[in-house]
Amino acid sequence: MSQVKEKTTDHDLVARFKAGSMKAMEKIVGRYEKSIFNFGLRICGHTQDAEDVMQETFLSAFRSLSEFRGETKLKNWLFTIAANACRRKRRKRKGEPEKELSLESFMPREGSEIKYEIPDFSKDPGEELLRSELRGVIESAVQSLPGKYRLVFLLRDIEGFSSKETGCILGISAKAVKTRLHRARLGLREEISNHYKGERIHG
Amino acid sequence: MDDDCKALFERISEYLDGDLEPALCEKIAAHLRDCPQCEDCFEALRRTVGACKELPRHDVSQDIRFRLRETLREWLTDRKSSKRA
Repeated sequence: MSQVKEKTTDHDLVARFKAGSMKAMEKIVGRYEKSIFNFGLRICGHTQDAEDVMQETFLSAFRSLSEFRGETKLKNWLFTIAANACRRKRRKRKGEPEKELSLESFMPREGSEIKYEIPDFSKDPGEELLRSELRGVIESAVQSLPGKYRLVFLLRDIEGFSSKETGCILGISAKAVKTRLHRARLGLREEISNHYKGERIHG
Repeated sequence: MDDDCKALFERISEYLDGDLEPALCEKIAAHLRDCPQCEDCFEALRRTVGACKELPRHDVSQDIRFRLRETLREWLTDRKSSKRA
């Protein structure tokens, strides 16, 4: 007999929660708390803010779960609430101007001998120490991105939402998502490469 | 950078994601084979995105997880008592 146990779907859990199941609420939280917390942490940059965002997201979600429609994925709905909570937090923190990233600034200069230095561990797993260094470099590079680019990058490349889904979560077009994602990735490439170039020169 | 390079530069993220129509994909692939500067530019972007996608999630501390559940439990209790009232 097959021992495969089917995973309870999000929609099943929502239905159970609506019927009064506390366990269903625990399961929904367990399923998404880590991703929502990390999203909040990488957008806001502070553990306390990330905790606030996570609490606000789940409280708001459970409060209005009766409005949740079956055609939306629960994860998308939670991230829509979380993205709004993050934006409110960021607005409260003054003094962080929203910089635009221009495509031209990332274009190789005429006649320049550009060589990017980005470690590639996809072919060679490399030493754990080097991988851990790269993770730290990426985390700092992500923090250096202006907010609106960071939001798109995290939803697309870290959470794996499609351009259309990311657009729905943020209330912008899929085209705007693609434009911002491209600039965010170029910004990250620049930051990471500059780090390793600097290390080679000074290290 | 000539016009072909500039046109490619604008679309390489979509190319990487496989979001472009086949004819444009083939055009970009051909350009990358012939232009070392664009190939370098694309390869660096590919590595960047690949490394970013492998970024692990930070663990949520026990304290934070506990406080979240406490908050939700309190809210549920309040909701139940206000419904009864």
